[in-house]
Amino acid sequence: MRTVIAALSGIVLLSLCIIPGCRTAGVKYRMDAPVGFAVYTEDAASYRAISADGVRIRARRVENNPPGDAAMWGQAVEAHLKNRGYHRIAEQQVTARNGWSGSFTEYAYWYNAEEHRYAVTIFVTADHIYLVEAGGTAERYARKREGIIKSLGQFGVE
Amino acid sequence: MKRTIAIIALCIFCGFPALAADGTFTQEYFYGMFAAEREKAVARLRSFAAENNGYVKFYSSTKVVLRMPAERVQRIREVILDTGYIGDERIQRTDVGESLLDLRTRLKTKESLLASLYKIFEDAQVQQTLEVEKELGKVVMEIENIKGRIAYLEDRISLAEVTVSINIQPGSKKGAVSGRTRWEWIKSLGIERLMSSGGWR
Repeated sequence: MRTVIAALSGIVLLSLCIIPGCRTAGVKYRMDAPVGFAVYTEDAASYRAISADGVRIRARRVENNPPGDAAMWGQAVEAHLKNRGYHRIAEQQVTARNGWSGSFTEYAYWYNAEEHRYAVTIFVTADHIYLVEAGGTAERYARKREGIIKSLGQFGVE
Repeated sequence: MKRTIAIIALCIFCGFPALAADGTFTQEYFYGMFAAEREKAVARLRSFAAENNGYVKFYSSTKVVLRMPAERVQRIREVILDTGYIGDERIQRTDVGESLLDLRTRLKTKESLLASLYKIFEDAQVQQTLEVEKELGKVVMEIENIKGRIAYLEDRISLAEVTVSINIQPGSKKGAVSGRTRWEWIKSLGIERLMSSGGWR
C-alpha cells in the first residue's frame, strides 16, 4: 500500500513539475509596453503588443541549438533578411533589465506597396535565443521608435 | 415639334459615346501580391507591359511600377494571378477634368494676349519695344508652362500607373531563399509574418 501511495505521490509531483513546463518551460516575459501599446495578456508562449495604428511588438524565444553566440546568430539573421531584400538601416547595442546585452537591428523593407520598418533584437543565453521583433509602416514606426527602444531596456524573463 | 425631338435624340445618341470616351480620370492601381518565385512574377509583369504598349517605370526584385494604357490596365489582375495571388488591392481614380478645362481656358486667353502683344510689337515705337519684348517673353513662358501641365495631365489620363509590391508566398518552398536557411525559426522572422494576422501568433 505504501509503495502504491509513494508511486502515486511521485506521479503527482512529476506532473506538477511537467505541466508548468509545457507553457514553453514556464517562461514569463517582462517588458513595459511603450506608451500607446496594448498588451495581449493571455499569451503564454510569447509576448505581444500592438498600437492603435498597427505597429506591432512580439517577443519569443527559441532554442540555442546548435549553440551559438550573439554575433553568430546576429549574422545568421542578417544574412537571411538581406537575402529577402531587407536593407539594414540602423544597429545598436541594448541592455535588458537583467543585464543581458542584445543587438537591435532595424531594416527597411517594401511590403504591400508601402515602406515598412522591421526591427529585431537578439539576446542570447546558453540555452535560448530571445527574439524581440517590432515593425510597422515607416511613418507609424518612426513615431513609436523611441518608446520601443526604451522598452527593450525593460525586457526580461522570469 | 417632332423634328426638334428627333434632333435632340440624335444629339444625345451621338454625344453620349463621345462623352464616355473623353476620359478625364487618372488611374492608379496598387497591388500587394504573394508569389512563390519573385523573379517569375517580375518577368511576367514586365512582359505584360511590353505586350500592351505600356512601359516599365521601375522594377526591382520586390517592386514593379508600370505605366499602362488606360483601356488595357484592367487585365493586370489576371497577370498577377498567373504567378501568385493578391494580398492587397487599392484603386484610386482622380477626376482632373476641371483642372484641364481651367488650363485650356487659360491657354486660350494667354494665346490671344500673345497675338495682341505681337500686334503692338509691330506698331511699337523704339522706346516701347523693350517693354513689349519683356512682356512677350513672360507670356510665352506662361504659355509653355500651361502646355506642359496640360501634357502631363493628358499623359496621366492616357496611361494608368500600376504599382505591384511582390512578397514571398508564406511557406513557399520554391523560393531560392528558403533553401539557404538552415534554421526553421529564422524563416519566421520578417515584417510579412509580423504584420499578417496569422503569422504573428
